[in-house]
Amino acid sequence: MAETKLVNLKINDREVQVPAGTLVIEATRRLGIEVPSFCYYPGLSLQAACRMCLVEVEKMPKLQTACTLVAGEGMVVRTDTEQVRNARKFMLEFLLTNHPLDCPVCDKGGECELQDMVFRYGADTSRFVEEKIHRPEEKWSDLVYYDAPRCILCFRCVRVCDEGMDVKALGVGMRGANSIIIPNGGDHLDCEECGMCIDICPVGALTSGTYRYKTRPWEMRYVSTICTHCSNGCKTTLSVRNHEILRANNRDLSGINKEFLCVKGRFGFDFTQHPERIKQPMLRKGEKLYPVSWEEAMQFAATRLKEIHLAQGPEAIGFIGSNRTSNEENYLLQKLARATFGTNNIDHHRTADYTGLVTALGDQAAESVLTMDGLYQSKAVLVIGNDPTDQNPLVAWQIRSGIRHNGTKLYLLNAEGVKLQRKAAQSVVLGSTKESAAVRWLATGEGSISEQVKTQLAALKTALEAESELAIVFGSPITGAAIRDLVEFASKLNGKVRFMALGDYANSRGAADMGLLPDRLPGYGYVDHAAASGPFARNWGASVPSKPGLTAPQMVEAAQAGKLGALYVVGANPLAHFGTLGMGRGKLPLLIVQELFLTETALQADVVFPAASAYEKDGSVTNTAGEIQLLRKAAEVMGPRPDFDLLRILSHQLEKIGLGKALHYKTPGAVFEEIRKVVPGYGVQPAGLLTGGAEPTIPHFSKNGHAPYDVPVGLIRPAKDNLFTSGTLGRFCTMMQSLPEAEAKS
Amino acid sequence: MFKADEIDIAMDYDTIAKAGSMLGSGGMVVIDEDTCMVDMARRIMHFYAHESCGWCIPCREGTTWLRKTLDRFHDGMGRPQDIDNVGELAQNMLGRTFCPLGDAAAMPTISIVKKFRNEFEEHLQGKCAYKSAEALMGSR
Repeated sequence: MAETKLVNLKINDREVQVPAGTLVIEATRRLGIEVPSFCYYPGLSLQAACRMCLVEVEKMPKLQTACTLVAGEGMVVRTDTEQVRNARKFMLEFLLTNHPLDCPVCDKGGECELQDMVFRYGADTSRFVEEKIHRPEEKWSDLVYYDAPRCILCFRCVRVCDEGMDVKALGVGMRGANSIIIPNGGDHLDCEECGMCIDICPVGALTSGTYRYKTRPWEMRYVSTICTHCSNGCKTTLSVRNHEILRANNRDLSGINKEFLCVKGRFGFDFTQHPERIKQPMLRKGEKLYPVSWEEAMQFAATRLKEIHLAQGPEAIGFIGSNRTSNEENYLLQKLARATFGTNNIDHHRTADYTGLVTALGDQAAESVLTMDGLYQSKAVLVIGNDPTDQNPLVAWQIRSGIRHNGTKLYLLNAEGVKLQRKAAQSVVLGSTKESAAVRWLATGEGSISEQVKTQLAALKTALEAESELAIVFGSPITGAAIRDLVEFASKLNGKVRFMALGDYANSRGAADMGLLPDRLPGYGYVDHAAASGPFARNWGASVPSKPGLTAPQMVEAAQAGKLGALYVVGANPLAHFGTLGMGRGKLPLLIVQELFLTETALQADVVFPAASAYEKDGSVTNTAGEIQLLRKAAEVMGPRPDFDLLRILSHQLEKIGLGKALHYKTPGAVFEEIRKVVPGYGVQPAGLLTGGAEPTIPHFSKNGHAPYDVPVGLIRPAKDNLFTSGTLGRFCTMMQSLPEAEAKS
Repeated sequence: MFKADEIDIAMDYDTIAKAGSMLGSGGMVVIDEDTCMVDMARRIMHFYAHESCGWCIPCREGTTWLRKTLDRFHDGMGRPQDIDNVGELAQNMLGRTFCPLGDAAAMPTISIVKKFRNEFEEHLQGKCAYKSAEALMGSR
């Protein structure tokens, strides 16, 4: 990297050195000096509209806006003079002329930037005795309300919607003191409903339909955790009162997503309170499921599992795990399957081929890790077989931010056109040609592809060869052999290439990483490879079965055909996703389900355990980029227990009746300690995690003479979730179901 | 704004600026001695409040505030402290706006308050002895 030139300047008699091009307002912040501002927002275009950041600069006749002034060598800046204090005081006086002075009943009271600024810099009395301009409040959507009199016209909302989201749903109408913000539908919003405008609003002008007037900011606890919807792993801060989540945002701008959250992360938490939540264990008696005591349900489950294990052997039992449960829970589930029951019949609903990626990269896996920040920083990005705007909102945000801030070049290779196209340097729309075929052609020049597409692919190849680095982000159409082709193609490029596979649920990556796979252990070591299974066997004090088990579709097929004795399902809906539709559980003798809701699978079960959602538990999750982050328990729902507890209790019941050893972990943290020790790639330092950050896992993998990895058709099944759906959780999210945009998409 | 005894100066940018005004586009308004200067200030502020785009706070809020105060003042509902307020508010806009429109609104207002304070004080007594500026220049 070229060395950045530094400039020296003096602010309030203190010397500071900043990179050339730094704005004075940023330089003051480095020194911990506050220069107030409303319209200035890091990352968005400059406005110099609010005039709050006026400072004195020597040799300049007038006060200068620190938000637009670039720090110069030898500059002498003062932020604490009488003139500056006056300017701030009277600017706030101007602002308050038309602003309602009713903080005690305003939804923003207590966390309002205007309130804070007036408290710190404003006057204690007002000279304004004229009539204020008033307009009635407007409802722009179920989620966004606009109260014009409170609006201070900083235009942050307009800019974040345009520049940040590329949605452009907000504009400014009228002029002078009558100026207002106007939504694209005239009187309503037609947008992605991300709520970024609400979050970025410094005052109470834009308020959230799900939160407004419910509580006060000082009455809530704030719990930073990870969004439980898509696989991107945005940090979200849940505002909790009386154990109930009332709001989600990320106003401290921390974590991998900084200020970003999409509609699901910001508003999609009401499933926790859905009336159809399962709150008690249930046991099938005849046709129906009846609520029973925990003891009865656990004893029944343990006894029946042991009977089947004894009568039909380990391979008669299958486990299907979740891509929403924590890493710790996934790890315990596979340990239960492998160590207690002695079977590798364990899998999950796979939506991306993480196994394929780690395997194809082999020794280069560690250096090819592409984090969310790496995606933002990358000079060039290639997206294959995915529409990030709709399916991976943070990925799309990172790409758009990279283009805006760093001039990132974007290349697209998709069957159909996607919204990011309008930001792309080149976009190849394949039509009937498959993405995997295009990748094969790029890697080998083989395959029958139309001349027209070939011309475009050739141009793409030339452009990619010229890039000094490249981030490749690919969706579910690229699996197994296609990933190998992709890695081969990348190896021929001149620049350094890193990869990210895009899955669909919050902990899809964690499920694969934690070995919810019939042929792989946690960390992707082969089950039949002694060097890989040795450390686990030693740690567990149990042997690790070496015969690969059944995949999830195979297990469901075997279950329906009566070839499986028992199926244990954690947070998944395999009967709806795999197997023969309409056949239900078929001839399966025992079905046990841990779930939040009575899904198609849970309805067929013999035993249903009520499970806690990710917002009701501690633990860790790994996002699609392979970054670990911590879940922190925010809400409490009476009845359900975290899957961590359920699996522990079951293991104790099993031990009591003579099957395996109980799982003696007191907390998810204790499991994470074990994961750090034994799972390849997970030996991360906890410090970064504890402070709310993300730690990339560093996979290391050796092929050990195994044949090239490939996946059978139909094993990787994308959930096809969009901005307004989220599998089972989405179905029970009242807010999401109510949006007209969601209806238009379904 | 120059009174009659101040106008014998060269009409160029430097000289006019030195004398405390702004040449701007070079346009000039001549106001006769029968014009009410409170009404003139009011009329000027109507123009600038209408023209203000709304981008920056001091111009957007300042011009509208001044317009309302001057309306009220001219209508006979002024208070003694309004006179200083008008001058100070204009002063608070001056030099702090995004574009020179705010300055252009502030400068004549400051001048009028300074140079025709007596007319403001007469209004407080309920008097307006002059022809209306509106009659000369059209309605607001």
